[in-house]
Order: sequence, then structure tokens, then C-alpha cells
Amino acid sequence: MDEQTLVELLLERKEDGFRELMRVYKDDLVNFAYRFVGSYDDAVDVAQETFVRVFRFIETFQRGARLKTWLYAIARNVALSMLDERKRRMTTRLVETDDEGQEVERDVPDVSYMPDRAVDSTIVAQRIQEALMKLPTVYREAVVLRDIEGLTYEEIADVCKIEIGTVKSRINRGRTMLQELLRDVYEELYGKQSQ
Amino acid sequence: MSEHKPDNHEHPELRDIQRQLPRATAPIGFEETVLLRRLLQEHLPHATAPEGFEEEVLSCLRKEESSRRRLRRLRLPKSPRTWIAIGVGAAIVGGIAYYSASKLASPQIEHYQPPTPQVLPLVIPTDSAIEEPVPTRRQQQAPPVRTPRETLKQQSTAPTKRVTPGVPDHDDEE
Repeated sequence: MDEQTLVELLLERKEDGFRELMRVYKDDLVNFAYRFVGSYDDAVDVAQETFVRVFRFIETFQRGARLKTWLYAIARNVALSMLDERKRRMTTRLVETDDEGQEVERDVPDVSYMPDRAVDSTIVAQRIQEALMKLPTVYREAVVLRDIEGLTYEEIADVCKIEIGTVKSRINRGRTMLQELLRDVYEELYGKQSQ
Repeated sequence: MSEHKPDNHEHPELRDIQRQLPRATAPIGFEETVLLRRLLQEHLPHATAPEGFEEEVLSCLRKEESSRRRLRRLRLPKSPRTWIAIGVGAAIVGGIAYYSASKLASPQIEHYQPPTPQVLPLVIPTDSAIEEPVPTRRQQQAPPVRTPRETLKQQSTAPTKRVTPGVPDHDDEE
């Protein structure tokens, strides 16, 4: 089924349309959400909520736009909300005093993160996922969308509502940080000459 | 019939131009990026949706759709009869509400009975800050009318004691 037909079915609120949409995109969205939020159960929730929102707001979909980037944009927003909620629940707010005597609030991130072993069964996969979760959100989403989900720069710019130049710089920065974090894994897998 | 392919040897000027083109080189960190992407693609499994994912979402969507339809039905009654019935009903309910509200919330009417006036004595403050009641007209008595004879008979109020100048007063000494 081509995208145009699928969009027409969705706009008519046909169940077949939603079934087809889920068949095509559910695994990609679950994978993107898992690599982004770091928990498989949360990732499934993100994907489900994404499809429910598609159903709710399908009238707002512009016919010229790409369905794939629209879906990823919704999934990204849902995932960001989930991360914010988790941050509020699991971080401690530390109030420090800076040099000028002003009180500064700092968020202490949760350090007890463990990748889902049902998904990442190997040690290497777990270490990669741990490294991904250490990246700041803006770099993580860029790297996941480009290097794991295989979206183009234009598509990522569309999903994240940023300029292509910003996408490129975020991907580069994210990759550099990830390489630093995965230095040991590189050495184990590819030997020292890779560094 | 063999196909003729253009060869750069036949066009030496083209070859010169091509030589002048700068060679694009790989950016710094190119190999590391390739290794990273290889690492992510080879060692990171693709998470998939669990079984029953679609049914769960669809049941959610069905619930939402039925509530949406119910709302739409409530929001948009199509026949003019329904509109009229709703209007009449609203007017009746509004009227009852207005009547009961005005009945309950209006102030209680009491017949006002002014208190019986009390005659208070008129008081005029004097300079000495002592308030003296001014007698009413009834209380005012006409000054006694004296005849000239009575006036003559009136005893003098002058002191009877005679005081001689230069002679000491014995009363003072006492």
C-alpha cells in the first residue's frame, strides 16, 4: 500500500488504515523509543501513545508532508515528555552556592540505569545502550535517528524542527562523545589500531 | 554495430579540466565514524513491538472512537425539531431557575415603622463649656413686674459696715 492510499484510509478513520500503519511502523517506533528512553516497557508505551495520537490528530496532518517524519516527530514528543516526567521523579534537586554566593539548583541524574536484558542480551549491546543513555538528549536523538533508524538529515531536521546544519553538528558531537564512551568496546572488538 | 564511447584521450582539454578539479578527501574522524556505525548496526539488536501490541492500540482507538461519536451526537443534533425541543427545554429550565433564584435571593420586605419621636431638650453650648439647658417656652417665666413702691421698699444690698479711711478694721485683725 502506498503512502497516499494509507493517508486517505487514515483520514477516513478506517481500521484497516490504522492496522497497516502499525504493521509498517510499530517496530521502528519501538526501537527508536527504546534507544531514546532506555526502557523497553516505556518504549512500548511511547509507541502505543504515538499511534493513539495519530488517530486523534489525523485531521491536522498536512497532505504534502511525509507520514514517516510526522510519526517520528510525535514519538519524539511523547518520549521527551516521558523523559521529563522520569527526570522529575528520579532526580534529586541539589542546591549549591556559587562563587558569588547565589544559590544554584543542579539536577543529579539517575545513575542506576540498566539496559533491558530481554532486548540487549549481549554485554556489548548493554554497554552501547548505557553509553547512549549518557549522551545529552539532543545528541542522543540525533545519533539514534541517523545511525540506528537510518533517517536522512532532512528527515531528522523535519522530525526535530531544527536546521540541517544543527542536525549535522549534533550528530557529529554525539558521535564523538559516543566514541569516547565506547573506547574500551572498540579496543576489545577491533583492536588498538582502530583508535 | 559497436557503440562508440567517448574517451578522454580523444578530448585532451577535458582531461586537463578534470585534473584541475580538487580531490575531495575524507573528513577527520571518518574511520571512527564508520567503526561506530558498524558497531551500532552489528551489535545493537532491533527492538520489536511485543505480541498483542496492535490489538491493544486498536481497542484503545475503538473506545476513543465510540466516545467521540457519542460526543458528536450530543454536540450536533441535526433535526430542527430537536433544536426547538432543546430551546424550549432550556427556556423552561432557565425560567424556573430564575424564578426560584429571585424568590430565594430577594430581600425580605418589612414594613418600616419609624420610632416614636423623642423630645430632646435643646442644648446650646456656652463659652464656659458648660452646657446649660435652655428652658422651653413653657418653662420660661415672665419677669416679675414690680411697682415703683416695691422698688423703693427693696432693701439695699450695700454693705452696712462703715469703713473709715485711716482707721484699722477690727474685723480684719481678728
